[in-house]
Amino acid sequence: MVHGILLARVPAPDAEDLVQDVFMSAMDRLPALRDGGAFGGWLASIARSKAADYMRSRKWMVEVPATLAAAGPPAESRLEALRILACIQELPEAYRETLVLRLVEGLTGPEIAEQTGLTAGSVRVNLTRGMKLLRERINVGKAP
Amino acid sequence: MKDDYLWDGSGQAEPAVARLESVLGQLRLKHSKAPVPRRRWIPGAAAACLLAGAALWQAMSVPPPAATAWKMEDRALVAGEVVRTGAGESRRLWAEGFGQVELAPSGELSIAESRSGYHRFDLRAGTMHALILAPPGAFVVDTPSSRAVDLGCQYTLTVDRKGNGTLDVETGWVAFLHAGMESFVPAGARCLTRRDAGPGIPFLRDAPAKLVEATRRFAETPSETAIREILDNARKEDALTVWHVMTRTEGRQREMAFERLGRLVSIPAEVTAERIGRGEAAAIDLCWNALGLESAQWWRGWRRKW
Repeated sequence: MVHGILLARVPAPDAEDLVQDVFMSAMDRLPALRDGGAFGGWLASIARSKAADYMRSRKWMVEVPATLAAAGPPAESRLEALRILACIQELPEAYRETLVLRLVEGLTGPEIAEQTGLTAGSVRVNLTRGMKLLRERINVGKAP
Repeated sequence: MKDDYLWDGSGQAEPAVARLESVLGQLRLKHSKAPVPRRRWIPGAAAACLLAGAALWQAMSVPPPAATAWKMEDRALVAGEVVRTGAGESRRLWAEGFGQVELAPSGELSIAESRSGYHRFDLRAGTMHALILAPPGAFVVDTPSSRAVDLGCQYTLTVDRKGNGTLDVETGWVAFLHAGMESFVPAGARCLTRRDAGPGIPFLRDAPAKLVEATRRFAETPSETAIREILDNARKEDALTVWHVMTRTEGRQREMAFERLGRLVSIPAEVTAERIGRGEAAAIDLCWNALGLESAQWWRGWRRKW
């Protein structure tokens, strides 16, 4: 779940690194968690905050294309995955996070609701509308 | 149901969704990958430790309720405390230098969170009136259907027995949020919120009755008929309502709202229907500027979803 939330906001290679930062940060803040039942939503909020901090801190950096940033030439299928991920990252925030958790992390809608603290209804709406927008964007990308 | 596979993986896999899952699945975090040198543990283990730690922490420590900055009848309220009012009685809560909240008869309110610079209430039922002097974002009220974030103002919030709500802003602004949806409600405006759909489209309290009724129908089902009704009945001063319709719709419906907005206010030439259709944040921002709500300039940058 944490990786999915990060992946919805930051470049794929950086998301993997940030996962552990989120857990370390959560460990530090654990005494502030009063309601164990709210753990998922609490951890999700730390992940969102970490992603936002990260994106702010890299504003001055020069973007390195994913193809160059990778250690070697990525497989065509990975390139396609990165292209689709870029389309998802352009969607409104609510849709991108839910779509990444569903399509990348493989969580079901009910699992996303349970882990992020969102209502099942919201997740369902986000999935349906997000998927519609994603299809449109991918189709636009394919147009000549 | 059509989206069952997308929802919970049941039913027949839709080819397009299954293909996206297959392609994107390779970006999933691999727990078996070689450890990054600067880290010593993998996220799976970290998650397990955290969960265990959270459970242990819960079991071992039951901190006493902390007194908050909020007072009622000269008594400090504690975090988590529930305030209820009977028929015919009301209660006033206040925090020195921050603001005050009045709970009307037959209401129920609790202090969910209270710390320096941030206070979150939970309005479960009834009506509360807030007068907040603190900076924007410092006072938040959760209701069963939306979260109201104070942006420096005075407002009245009501929650009915079904968990639906009504927000009336008297001065300043309030942001009404739920699951990625936002409504910005200025002084003189009202916004309804539904338990199953979150915040609706805000409208001025003196808006034409047909427009108000259409915003209610839009909240139930954002049909083209409801959208047309809103757009056809919008006056110049209802541009705020039209702007919200534009940000909540897509495709042709968004185009219709953009076109109508352009007739109500002066939109810069650089903002085109194509840019709005693509959901370009800068273009939507320029449309917001065109509403002429200058008093909002100081807070508008606090958080932007579009």
